[in-house]
Amino acid sequence: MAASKERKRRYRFAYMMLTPGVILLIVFTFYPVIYGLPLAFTNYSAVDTTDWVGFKNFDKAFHDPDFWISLKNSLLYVIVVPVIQILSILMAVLVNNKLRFVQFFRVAYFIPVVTSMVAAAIAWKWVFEEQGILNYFLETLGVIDEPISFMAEPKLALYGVMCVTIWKGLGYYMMIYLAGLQSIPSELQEAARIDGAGWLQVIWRITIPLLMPFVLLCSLMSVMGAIRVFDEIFVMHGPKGDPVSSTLVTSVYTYKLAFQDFNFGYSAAVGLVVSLLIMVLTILLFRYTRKGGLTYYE
Amino acid sequence: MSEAASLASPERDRSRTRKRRFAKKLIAPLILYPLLILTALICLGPFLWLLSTALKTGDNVYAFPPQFIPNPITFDNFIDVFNIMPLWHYIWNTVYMTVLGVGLNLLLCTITAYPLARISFPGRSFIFYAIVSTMILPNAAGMIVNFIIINKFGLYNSMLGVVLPSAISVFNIFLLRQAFITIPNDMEHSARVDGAGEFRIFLIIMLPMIRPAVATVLIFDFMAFWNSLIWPVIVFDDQSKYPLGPALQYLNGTLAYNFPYIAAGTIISILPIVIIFLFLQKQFINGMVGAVKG
Amino acid sequence: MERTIRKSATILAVTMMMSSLLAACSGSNNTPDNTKQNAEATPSAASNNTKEEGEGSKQEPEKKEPVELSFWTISLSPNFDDYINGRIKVFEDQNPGITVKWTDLPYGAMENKLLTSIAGGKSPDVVNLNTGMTMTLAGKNALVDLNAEATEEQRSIYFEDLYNSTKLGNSAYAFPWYYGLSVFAYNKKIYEDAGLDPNKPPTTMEELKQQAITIKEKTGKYGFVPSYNPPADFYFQGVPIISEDKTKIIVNTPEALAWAKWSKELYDKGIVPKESISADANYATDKYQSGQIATLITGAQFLNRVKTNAKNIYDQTLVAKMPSLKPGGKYQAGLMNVVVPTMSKNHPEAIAFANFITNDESQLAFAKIVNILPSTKKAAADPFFTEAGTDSESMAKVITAQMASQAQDFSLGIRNEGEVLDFLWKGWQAMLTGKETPEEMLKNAEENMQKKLDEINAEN
Repeated sequence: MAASKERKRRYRFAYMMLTPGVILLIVFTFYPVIYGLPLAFTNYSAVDTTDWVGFKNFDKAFHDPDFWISLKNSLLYVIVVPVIQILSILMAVLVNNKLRFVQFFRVAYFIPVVTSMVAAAIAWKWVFEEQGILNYFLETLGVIDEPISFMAEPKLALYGVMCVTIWKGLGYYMMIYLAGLQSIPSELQEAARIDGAGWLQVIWRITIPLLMPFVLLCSLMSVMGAIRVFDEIFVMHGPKGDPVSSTLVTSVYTYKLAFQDFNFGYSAAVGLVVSLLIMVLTILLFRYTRKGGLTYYE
Repeated sequence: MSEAASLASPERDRSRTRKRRFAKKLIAPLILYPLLILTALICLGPFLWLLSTALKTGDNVYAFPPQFIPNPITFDNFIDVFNIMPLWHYIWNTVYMTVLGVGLNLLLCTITAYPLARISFPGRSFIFYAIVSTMILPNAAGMIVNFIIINKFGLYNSMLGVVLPSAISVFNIFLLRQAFITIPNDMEHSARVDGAGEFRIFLIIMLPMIRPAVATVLIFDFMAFWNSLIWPVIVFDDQSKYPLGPALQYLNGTLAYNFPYIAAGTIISILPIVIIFLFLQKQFINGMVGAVKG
Repeated sequence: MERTIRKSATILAVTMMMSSLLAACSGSNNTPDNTKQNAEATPSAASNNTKEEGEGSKQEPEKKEPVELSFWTISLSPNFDDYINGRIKVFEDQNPGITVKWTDLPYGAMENKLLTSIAGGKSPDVVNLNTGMTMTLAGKNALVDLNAEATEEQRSIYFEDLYNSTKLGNSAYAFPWYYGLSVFAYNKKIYEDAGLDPNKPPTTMEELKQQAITIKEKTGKYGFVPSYNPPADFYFQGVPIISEDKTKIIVNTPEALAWAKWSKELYDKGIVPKESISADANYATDKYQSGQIATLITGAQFLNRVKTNAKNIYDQTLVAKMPSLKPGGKYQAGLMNVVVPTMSKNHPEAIAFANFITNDESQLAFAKIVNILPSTKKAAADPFFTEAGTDSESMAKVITAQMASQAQDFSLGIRNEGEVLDFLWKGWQAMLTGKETPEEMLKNAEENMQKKLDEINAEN
């Protein structure tokens, strides 16, 4: 009797604690999502009258070459994930050393994360331009004779933006991995070392397995980030994904449809299709990985 | 860390370990520092270029081949930026917005994450997965709906209207919940045996245990609020209420585009985040080590 | 462990499906009144806000209650604060009972803020927009038709071609404000280095091409950065683009092919930088300032930037009239407009202010502080525009002012013109990068544009 009373008291406490947060989430997160879903079946433009159009928007999307291009580019963008993860783990290992000035390096690696995208884009344009710094170095070193146009060549433009995403993401994931590395009891590594394991073996046998939940969490975040990439492309290549739609990704395309063409309905439909795809991807990612970051601790 | 390990190791291993450690002490920095510096150059390169541009005089900004170290160095661009716009005022707005936003986030996210992690009340998984699902669901009309709501609440042109829609973040809840879960049950039990109330347990026992996660949330939220660009412009009707991000966009206008000013403005806007990070990063690491070792 | 994961993934999936189902159910009730809500948002917002006290006064201009107009501009602050505030003061003095609240939006924030505000029932009264954005909004019935609501007196002060840039059928949706015409600025020193006579700037595009080739050969620098605007370029070359009755797209013509081939040759041979494919005005100006490009085809207002950012280049700069695309043809004017959204609650006052801020007096005063051209006839006739100084900036002013009567901001004059013109922009880029030949590009663009146009015409 007393135990159940005690339990009820705890439940009441739980609900009390949850209330403010859940109310805010309902108002500012759930409500817009629920409000937004049916828009995909309308011709909502935000400024004019709205009519139901049924599945017309979806039909339109399937026949819209730009939609397919943007989807392809968004999926292609996921290749930044392994690059970011491997490099940021290496960086975390690097700054996990007890060295002088290591604090300084941690901060230095984190600066791209906190730099606004507007500033980063200005700087990276300067790197990639025909008369930019990258071409300047390559020409000075004699690697190339003619400058390469990293920004204007449709085959290269998307990879150029990927470099910015990678550059800007490394510090973020490095910090998470650093936290992960420091959560590994150092006794374990020390003990292994005393047992005669080399540093490579220590990393392979102890560090990486214990880091796995972090890798999964980071990969998941990174995949979602990659599929939703927006800022870099919008600032560097504009809402149309210049040149020739080569940098058009789904988020930029939905933005353009909504805010430049005022086709919110169609934009919502495209967004819905993409979200369904992300959902499937996420579920697959969970199913085919051994330890899900979501449930690791349970 | 090494102390604990060497105490545990047998007597005869000691000298060997010491020797190896000595070698490591000499060689490791020789490999590590060049690596560290190289990585730093790549990470900081574009940032350093902004800095050098901000310190250049007009003619040298567009020099080709590019001038890496400004000569002469001038601080005029920084002074000018402060003169052409009320930058201190914008900085104050940004601080106000950021403190309010981060404060609300820390409060709301911790109290939401805590029961989700530690109390198995009915409906817990439903609420948790419903919350997590919003990370994936589309939010096509999000900005418009949020604006309509803010308007209905009479929060148009107010700081609360800017901050409230992002006062709670699903990602933070997720992160903090994860941190709360890892705290061993014994702590909670002994506190309960001592007769501490639920809220007291949360505040005095549990919250200090997740300092690292709180520091992480703090850093990322700080960044997000500090750099926010579009939403404040939508909510605010008065230019004088804008935070730094949109205010600096004025330097980017077509009729008055001055690259050194933009560079200087950007450096000014990044500095506080770098300082906050510098300061919190130690907390973050110490808190982390404390949580693991304690 | 794996089972747990599978379980949780299933729960996740089920939850999400449930929530979307839920949403779909509630959605069926939700969206019909979504439209209503849009309309309703207006009065409810007004009741919250003191500023719309003059509500319902829309039809009766003789009301006494004070009106506050909100006026939004793009990126004029802080440089032109004094000018705008000064004009507002004059307007308020002339019109007691009306106050104007000016908000200048940072570059790039306008589309977001405007759309969200109109949808949320917080529409501004007077807004500064470019022609493209004006046409898109007009196509969605979001702007006041000035042919219907403004007086003849208000409309008659503008150049007809400029006023008609935002025409859609028999309606016109904006008062033209300021614009810039391009001049041909060139670097004397680079011309001399290339063995060209700096006193003989090109007068036709063909001459420009020859000079650019010489400059590239002799100095290795680029001759110019073309700022492509395919629809306008074609139009001013004599390609009709659209038939008079707005039913047929006409893009695939010999003139169009000649221009496409001409441009592609320059691009392929590396006479112009590859980045010109998506370059904006900032790009060309930056390159010119660094002395990497011999000439700058730019709005006269941008010369001021060269002057402040790179004085040594500015000192070597000479200006001349733009080489013409077609003898005696018209010139593209990048026009800024002032519009009144339909959702504004004070149409007559808003129109009056929109007219005031673009009238002869206001525009002349504006032109005196920044190198732009006025869109009104009387202001353009002011002696100020013929008084040449010796510096490049004021020479540019005189040159462009002479061209003012030939200025036009190209638009198709149909709803959703952006969606139709998109094919031309994309095709142009595809052609330059070699994905399509000029012939293919014109053929495909014409087909796709026609298809889109038919769709649009069918909808209305």
